[in-house]
Amino acid sequence: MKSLTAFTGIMRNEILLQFKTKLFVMSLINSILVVILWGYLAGLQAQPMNHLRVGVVEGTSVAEILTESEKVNAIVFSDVKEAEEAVLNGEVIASVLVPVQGGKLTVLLDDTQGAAARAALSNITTVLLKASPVTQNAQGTQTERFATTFETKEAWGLDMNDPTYLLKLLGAGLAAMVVLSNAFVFSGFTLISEKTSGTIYFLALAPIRRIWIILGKLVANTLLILASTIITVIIAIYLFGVTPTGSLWPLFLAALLAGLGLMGLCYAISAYVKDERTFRVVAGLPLMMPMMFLSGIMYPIAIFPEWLQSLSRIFPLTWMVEIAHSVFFKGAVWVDVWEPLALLAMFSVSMVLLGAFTVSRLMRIQ
Amino acid sequence: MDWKTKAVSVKDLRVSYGKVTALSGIDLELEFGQPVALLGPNGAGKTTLINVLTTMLKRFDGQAMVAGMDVKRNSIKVRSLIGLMPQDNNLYEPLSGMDNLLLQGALHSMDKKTSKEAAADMLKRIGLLEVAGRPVSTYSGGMKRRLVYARTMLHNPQMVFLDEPTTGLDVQSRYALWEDIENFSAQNRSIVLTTHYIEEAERFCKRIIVIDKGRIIADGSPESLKTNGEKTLEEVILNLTGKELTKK
Repeated sequence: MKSLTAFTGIMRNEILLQFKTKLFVMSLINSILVVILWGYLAGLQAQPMNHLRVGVVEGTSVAEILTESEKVNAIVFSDVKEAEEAVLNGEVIASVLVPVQGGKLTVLLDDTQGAAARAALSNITTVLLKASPVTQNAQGTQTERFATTFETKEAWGLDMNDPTYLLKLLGAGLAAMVVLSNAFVFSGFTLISEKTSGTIYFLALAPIRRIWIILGKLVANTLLILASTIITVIIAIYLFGVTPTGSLWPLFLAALLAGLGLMGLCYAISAYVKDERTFRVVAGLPLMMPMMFLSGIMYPIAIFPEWLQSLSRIFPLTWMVEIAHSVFFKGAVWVDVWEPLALLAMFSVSMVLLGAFTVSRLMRIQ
Repeated sequence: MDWKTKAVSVKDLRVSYGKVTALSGIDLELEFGQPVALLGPNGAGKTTLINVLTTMLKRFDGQAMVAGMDVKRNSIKVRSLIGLMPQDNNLYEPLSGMDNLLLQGALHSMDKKTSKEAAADMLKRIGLLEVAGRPVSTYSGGMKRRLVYARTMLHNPQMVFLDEPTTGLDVQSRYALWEDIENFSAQNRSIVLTTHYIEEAERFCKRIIVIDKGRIIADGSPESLKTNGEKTLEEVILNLTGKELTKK
């Protein structure tokens, strides 16, 4: 009987704890959202992906067929060169190139887009297969048999038929994943632990400006993030079989900037939450999870509908994945990735300032 | 008021947390070399006063000076002169005792060699030299408390604030600590202490300040406070602050 009383007492206490800390509701929402997000993204991959942008050359019969089709989102370019460049700069997933002199059609694919590139090829094939028998000239004779005569070409030479193809794409995004995870652990969880143990208030007593304390933490953790990035690049090369075709320096700078920015953001959040469990839910739900799924690490952004692509583009990790893909697969050097680097620099500066402000405030007893 | 010669000068100090008044018009002057005990029930305002004097709390009205310096305007200089031993053992538990002390040395701009020597000296004084390399998480509560004391004293501060320094210590450790505190005081350094071991305050402090409900209600030597035939300081405190349990 004594044990039963204790047992019910413990039960009541536990339930009260979960409700008072709002963890019951938050964890429920968290789980539901994970399943919805995961399921939604898995569902997207099974969809026909009719929104995928496909380049065609103006004035060709293929352009006519693909423009009229609902299975692809055809973008018309004035010549073959423009259509080719559109694939190389990521404007379209694939371009259907018609040689001026006649001959085979070529479908040029952006092979860094994984499932999206495969889906685009499948959609183009379906449309052209359907169109072949009915594409007849004025004399009633069939002019072209598109489906049987076109060939595919991978823009970046990744060999989409290689069984390790998707693994290579994941390998390139590994650095971004590690930066995200490290930033959460090194800054968010560590600051919360310093709050609960009181060491942050010991640091606050140091006879120096508080910004130096925050910078000391940030720089040390950034060095650790850089070390992790270097390790993941080595893993990507030797375990995932990815060979960088460009300069790795922009990737390291991107890791540094993304790491600094994410740590600043995590500092700002952890300065306000009470404990590690709450941080896990509060920061994980609106930040870590969407960034993990929607930054192009696991799924190519092109498979998302337009609204989700717009959302994905505001995530700093998306810019880092773009840089990683560029330096691993597209032979990028500094000048090719200046735009995402500039965005990362802006994110980094603003988040470091926010983090420094909130932690500095935390160190003062209010 | 001659600010320069005083360890602490406080004038009409008022602190409120929302609608709750923590300190309501404190006036106080402390001399260097004079160990002072701040006594009073829980929630009386002792820790708030220490937070103001150690520059941790800046939202207050009135004036507070430490070693002739305004705690709001010269907070960095004030922090370089003081040491604070908080109630909680806020140590980096995964790190060794030595690493914890070396961090304090670095924060006070001591070079590595001086810092190491000072740390070894402190650890020897408090009997932790042999376990200096062990993670703090393996220390007992008393050992952690002694390490916090060592960290407070490492940079040889001019003035220390000791918040319940001997809580959780065995008799031997308490005596060793008080001996060290007395040696420190003998060097014309200033000590402000809060403790619930009233007999310790009576024995080691020449001046007792009793705070209750945010005000100083008694101030003097232990003997001078026994005006109503009380035998111990504890009786004095009970007479002054009442026997009712505090609501804070």
